[in-house]
Amino acid sequence: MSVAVIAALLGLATVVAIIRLAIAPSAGVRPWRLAALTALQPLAAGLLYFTLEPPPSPDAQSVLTVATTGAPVAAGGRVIALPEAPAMAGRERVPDLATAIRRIAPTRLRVIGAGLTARDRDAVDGLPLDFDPTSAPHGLIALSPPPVVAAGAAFRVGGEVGGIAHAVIELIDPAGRRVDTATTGATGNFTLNGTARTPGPALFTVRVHAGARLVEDAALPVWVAAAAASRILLLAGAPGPEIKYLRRWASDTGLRVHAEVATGAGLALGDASLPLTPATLRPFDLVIVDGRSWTALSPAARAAVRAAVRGGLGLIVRLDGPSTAASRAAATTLGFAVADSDAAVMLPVPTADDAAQAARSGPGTVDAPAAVNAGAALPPLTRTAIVTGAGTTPLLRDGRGATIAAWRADGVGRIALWPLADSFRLVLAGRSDVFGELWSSAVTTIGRSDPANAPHRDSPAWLGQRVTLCGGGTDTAVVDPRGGRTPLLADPATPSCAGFWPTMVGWHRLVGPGQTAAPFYV
Amino acid sequence: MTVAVRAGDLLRPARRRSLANDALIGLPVVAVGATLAFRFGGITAAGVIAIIGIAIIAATANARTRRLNRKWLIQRLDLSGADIEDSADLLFADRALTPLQALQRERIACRLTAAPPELRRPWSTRRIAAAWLTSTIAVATLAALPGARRATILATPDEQVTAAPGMPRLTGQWLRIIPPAYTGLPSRDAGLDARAPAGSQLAWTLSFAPQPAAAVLAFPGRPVPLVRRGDSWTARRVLDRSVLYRVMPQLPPGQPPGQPLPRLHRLDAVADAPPQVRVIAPERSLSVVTPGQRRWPLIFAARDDYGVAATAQLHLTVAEGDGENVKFRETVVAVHGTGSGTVKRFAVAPDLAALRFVAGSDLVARLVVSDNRSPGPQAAVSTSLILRWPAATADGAGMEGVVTRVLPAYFRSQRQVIIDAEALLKDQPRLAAARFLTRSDGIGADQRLLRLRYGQFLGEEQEGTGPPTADAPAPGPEGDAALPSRSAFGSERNTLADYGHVHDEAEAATLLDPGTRTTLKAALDAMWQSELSLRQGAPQTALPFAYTALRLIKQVQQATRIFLARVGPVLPVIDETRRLTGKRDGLDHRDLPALVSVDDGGAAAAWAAVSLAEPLPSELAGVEAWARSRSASVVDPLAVAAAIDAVRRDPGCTPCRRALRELVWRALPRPAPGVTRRDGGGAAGRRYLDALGGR
Repeated sequence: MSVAVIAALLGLATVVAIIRLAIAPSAGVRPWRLAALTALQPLAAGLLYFTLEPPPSPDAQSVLTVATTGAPVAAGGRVIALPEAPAMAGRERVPDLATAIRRIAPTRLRVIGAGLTARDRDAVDGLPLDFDPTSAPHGLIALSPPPVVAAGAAFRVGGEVGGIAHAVIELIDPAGRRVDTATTGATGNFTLNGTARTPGPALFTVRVHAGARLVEDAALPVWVAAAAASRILLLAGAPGPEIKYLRRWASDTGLRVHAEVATGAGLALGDASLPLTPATLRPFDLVIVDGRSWTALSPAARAAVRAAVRGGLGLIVRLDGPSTAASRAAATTLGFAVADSDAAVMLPVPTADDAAQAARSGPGTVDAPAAVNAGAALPPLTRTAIVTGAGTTPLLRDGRGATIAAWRADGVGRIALWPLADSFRLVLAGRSDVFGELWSSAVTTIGRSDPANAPHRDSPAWLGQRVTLCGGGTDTAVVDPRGGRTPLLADPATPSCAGFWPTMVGWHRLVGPGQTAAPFYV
Repeated sequence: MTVAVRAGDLLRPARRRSLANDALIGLPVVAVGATLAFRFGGITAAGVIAIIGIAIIAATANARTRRLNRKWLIQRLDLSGADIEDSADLLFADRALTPLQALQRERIACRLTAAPPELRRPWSTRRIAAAWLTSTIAVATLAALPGARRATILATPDEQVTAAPGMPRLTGQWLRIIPPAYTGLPSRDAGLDARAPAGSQLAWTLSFAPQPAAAVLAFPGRPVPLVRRGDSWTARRVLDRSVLYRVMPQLPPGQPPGQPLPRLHRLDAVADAPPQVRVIAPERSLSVVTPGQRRWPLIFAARDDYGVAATAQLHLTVAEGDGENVKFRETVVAVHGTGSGTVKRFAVAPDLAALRFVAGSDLVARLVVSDNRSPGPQAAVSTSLILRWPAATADGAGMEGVVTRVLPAYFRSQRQVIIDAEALLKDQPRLAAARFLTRSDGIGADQRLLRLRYGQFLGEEQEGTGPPTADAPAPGPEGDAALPSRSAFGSERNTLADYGHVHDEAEAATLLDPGTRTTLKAALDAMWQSELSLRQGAPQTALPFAYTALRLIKQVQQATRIFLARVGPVLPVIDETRRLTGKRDGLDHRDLPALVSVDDGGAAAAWAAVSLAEPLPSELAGVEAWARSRSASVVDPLAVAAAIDAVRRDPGCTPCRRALRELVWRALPRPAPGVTRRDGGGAAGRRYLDALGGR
C-alpha cells in the first residue's frame, strides 16, 4: 500500500471522526473534553502514519552502498555507482569512491558486486566495510607464472579454478600445441609443467575447459633466461657412466665443471687436482661428490667444504653404492639418516600423452631428431638408500610422491644426499631430457644463491594498475613493448622501490644503470 | 469360338517404337544444351538444363504416343493391307453387333491373331543420325573451344595489397592444374595456392586492372613471364617441386619505388610414392621343399598411389653347391597382375623342374614391381623368398657334423662284433660245435678287420689289402684301379707310395694327439685279445675285451671332439695382496676426454628476432637462413619463408607475427635443461638469516 493511500485513508478517518464528534449529541459532555478529543484525532492519525511508514533513521542514512562491477540491479538504500558498475537508472554516478565519501560522509560502506579496484582501495581508509560479492568467481582465480626459467629447463605453473568441478586445464605452448593437461580436484588447485626453449620471452596459454566447453584462456608469460654458468666441482671415486653423462649435460648447458675422477693408487683422471681449502672452494657454486671420494677426503678437506657450505656453497653427496659404516657415519655427520635399500624407483612421467611429449621435446636437431626417441619409456632406476632426517626437504620424488633425495640448509648453503645410483640410464633409454631436468632442478636448488639484489615486483601486473618494482636502485626506467622509456621515481619510504602504471599489454623491461634488463609482462 | 483382340496389345509395340524414336532424337539435343550450360554456367546449370530437357522430351514423346489411340489403330488396320476388309471398327465396337457383324468380327480377329500386321512406324533413321552427328560435333567443339569460359569466370584474388590509383592490381585469377596423364587424375581448377602431383602442368589465367605493360610470375631464380591475350594474361609451368611465388605486374613508370610486394603464393608438389609390394603366400620367407613338389606357388600384392604396372618381373635365383663352391643361376620371368589400377595381385607358380632345381640347392624368388610414372617408373622389390631343398646326406650341424664324419662306420662295427658275439652265445646250445666255431671265427675275422683299420691310424702295417668293413666301399673286380695310379718315371710325387710303405698316415697323424693315440693303442690291444678268443671259438672270453675295446674307442671319439662351454668366463678371484704391486712406470694423471660443444645453429637469435618486438629486416634474413639450415623433417622452410614475407610486407601485422612466432617455436630445438641461480633473498634476506644464525 503506497504512502499516499495510507495518508489519504488516515486523513479521511480523521475528518470523519471530527465530524462525528461535532454532530454527536453533546449533552453531558464537557467542552474541554470535546476539544481535546478533536485535537487528538489528527495527532493519533499522525502517529499511526509514522508507525506504518517510519521516517528514515539517522543510522541508515550514513550507510553508503557502493555498486562495483557486476552489481545486481536491485539494491536498497542509498546507492552510488562507481564507473565500472553496470549502468542502471536511479543510481548516483561517481567518478571514484573518494569523491563519494567526501560528498556524502558515510559512517559505513557496503560494497556490492565484484569488489573495489585498486584505485578505490585507499579511499576506504578505515571505514567499516561490508562486502556482498554477487557470486563466486567462475574460472581461473589464481595463476602463478614461474619466475625466471633457464633455457631448456622444465617449469611448473600452479593455479586455482573456482566454480567449476573437475575442470580440465591445458597448458598451450607459443606454437598452439598442448604441452600438459591437468584436472582439478576438490580444491580447484592444479599444477602444470612445460619446457622452455632458447632464451627470450615466451607466451604460453592456460586453457580452462569445463567438460567440452572452453571456459577461459589466460596468457601465461614465461621469461626464459640464458642458463647460469655456475661452476661445479665434480669429485668421483671411480670413473663411471654417471660422471660421463653428468659432464656431457653440464657442458651442453654451459656449466663450468672441474672434474676429478680417482682411478686408485693416487692416480686420477680429469682436471688438475685441487686442494680443498676455503680459498679454492670460494669460486665454486656446487660440489658434487660421491660417497667413496667423500669418505676418502681428509678431515681437513671435509671441514673446509662444510665451512664453505655454511658460506653459501652447495654440496650434493651421491650415494652410488651400498652403504658402508663410513658412509653412514658421514651421512649422520651431514645431518641425515640413511637406511639401506636397493629398490628400483620410477621417476614421475612428465606427461603420458605422446602428442604433448612431442611438443615438450621439440623437433630435435638435424643430427638427432627427437622423433628417434619418440615413445621412449622411463627406465627404472636404482635407489641405494632411503634418506630421512630432521629438517630435510625433498629434492626429488618418485612417481608416487615418495622422497628419493633430500636436502637441508646449513648456514646459507645447502647439503643434499642423492641416493640415485644410475640416473644415466635415462640417457641410454633416450630420455636425456628427463636426465637434464633432474640435474637442472638439483643444481638450481642446491647451488649457491644469486648474490645480486635481483629486481623483483609484485606479480602479476595488470593494465592500468600500479606495479611495485623493487630492487632497481636509482635511475631506473621501464621500457615498454614499443620501445618507449618511462623513468621511475623511487618511493621515499622504500628507496629501492618505485611504482609504475602500465598503459599497454606486452613485455616490459626494467632497465637501470649497470644491470641486466628485468622483464615483466603486463 | 471367340477370339478376343484387345486394342492395347496391338498398340503397345507401336507406342514403344514412337517413344524410342522421340527419345533418340531428343537426347542429343539435350546433351548439347547441357554442354553449353556447363561451359558457361558450371555443373549446376548443366544439371538443371539436362533435367528440364529430359522432362520436355518425355512430355512431347508422351503426347505423341497418345495420338496412337483406338481410332488411329482402326485406320491403321484398315490401311495395313492385311485382310481386314475395312471391318477393323467391328473389332473394338462397343455397341451390340448383328449376327452378321459378329461373324465378320470373328473372322477378322482370327486373321489378325494368325498374322498380326506390322503397326510400328519404321525407325526415323535419318533424323536420329542427323541429331547424333550434329550434337557430337557441337559437344566436341564446345569442349575444345579454349578460353570461352576463362574470360568470364575469374576468381577474385586476395593479394593483400592496398589499392592505389594507377597501380596495376590483380583482379582475377584462374589456375588450371593438369596432372600428368599417367596419374589418371582429372584436370581441376584451383586458387593461386595449390597442391598438385609433381609433374603437373599449371596454367595461369590472370587479369589486371589497370593493364600493366608486362607481368611475371616471380618464381625464385626463374621468373615466368605472363603473356597477354586480350584482357587476360596467361602462363604455363610444370610443377617439379614445392615452391613459393608472387604475381608481379610491372609498375608503370614514374611510380615511387618501395611499393609493398604482393603476397607469396604456395605451390605444393606431391611426389609420386614408389609402389609397395607385400608377400601374401608363402607366409614365411623360408620354405622347405615337400616331397613330390613340382611347383612353388607365390602370391604378391602390390599397391601404388597412381597405378601399378600390369607386368612385374619375378627374379628366380638358384643357388647350387656347398660351402665356398656355390654357383648361382638367375632367371627372370614376367608376371601379369590382376586387380584394379592401384592395387594389383601377382600370382605365379614357377616350375621347379624347368629351373633345374635339385636337392641341396636353394631357390630365391623376388618380385620387382614398377609403377606407371613417366618418365622413369619407380620400382620396388619384394622381400626375398627362399625355397630350400636340403641335401640328402645332411649331417648334424656344425662341429659335431664334421667329427661324426671322421670314423662313423668303425664304431658301429665294434658294437656289431659284441652284438654278434652275444647272439652266438645265446644260440650256442642249439648249434653244433663245428658250426659254432665257424661262426665265432667269422666274428673274429670281423674283429681283425676292425683292428687293422684302427691300426692304420697308429701306423701299423697293413696285412694285405684285406676286405673292407661293412661301410667301406667294396673294391671293384680290378682292385688296382682303386689304388692311386702309378705315375710315370721321374715324377716325385708318388715315389714313396710306389717303392716304400708308410707307417703313418699323414692325415691320421694330424688328427690324433698323443693321449688319443695311447687310448687307441689300448683299444687295439683289447681287440687283439678279443680276436684271439673269437678265433679259438670262445666268445665268452672275448666279450670282456670287446667291451673294453668299445669303451676305449668311445673315449677316442670323445677326445677327438671339441667341446666349447657355453658360459661366460669364470674369472679367478682377485688376489688382494698382489693389487697395485706391478710396475707403474708411465702411468700418470690424464685428462678426461674433451667434450664437443654443441652450437644451437642460430636458434636463439631466430627466437630473439621474432619473440619480442617488431623484427628488423636483417634479423628476418637471419631467421630465414636458420630455417633453411634446419632439416625439412623438423621445419617447413616454405611455410617459414611465406610467414617471413608476410611480416616483411607489413611489419605491424600482429597475426602475421604470431604465425611466424608459432612456426619458429615449432622448429626450435630444446636445449639441454639449464640451471638458474636460486633467489638468495637479497640483502635484507641475508641480514635476516644472519640474525637467525646469531652472527
